[in-house]
Amino acid sequence: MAVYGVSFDSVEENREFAEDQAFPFPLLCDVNRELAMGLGVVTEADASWANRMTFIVDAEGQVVHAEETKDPSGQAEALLELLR
Amino acid sequence: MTRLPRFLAFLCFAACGAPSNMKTPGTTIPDFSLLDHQGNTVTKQDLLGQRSVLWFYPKAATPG
Repeated sequence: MAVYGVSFDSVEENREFAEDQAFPFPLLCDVNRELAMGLGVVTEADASWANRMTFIVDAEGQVVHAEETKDPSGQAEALLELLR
Repeated sequence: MTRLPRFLAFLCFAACGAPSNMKTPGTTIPDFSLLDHQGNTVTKQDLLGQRSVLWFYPKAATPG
């Protein structure tokens, strides 16, 4: 299984974030909002930030789970439970 | 004046009840090509063949 973080930040900003947090997965820089627009995470191409949404995608590229997180605390645990 | 309540109801629907555009289970993710934090290109093809999690977060260096 692969995990990708996605935000609208630059390579430089995300590199710093990844190093600070020691994330063991890549952070994608969706600076033009192309993936976020395609997945409906934002509706405007000039949106300032991404909504907290998480997608689980199967091996064929189909979305098998999508959720919006209002409160990030406990999100990781809930996601791990879903992936079991 | 009798139209006012209906107008207000419409406004409320437009503001709060509009359906989300979020992709739902069963739909396919779009083609994309993005740089990761190390400058590597990642495309939709890289995701295929295994299960993936796409975690969108608002801003680097913020909690959550």
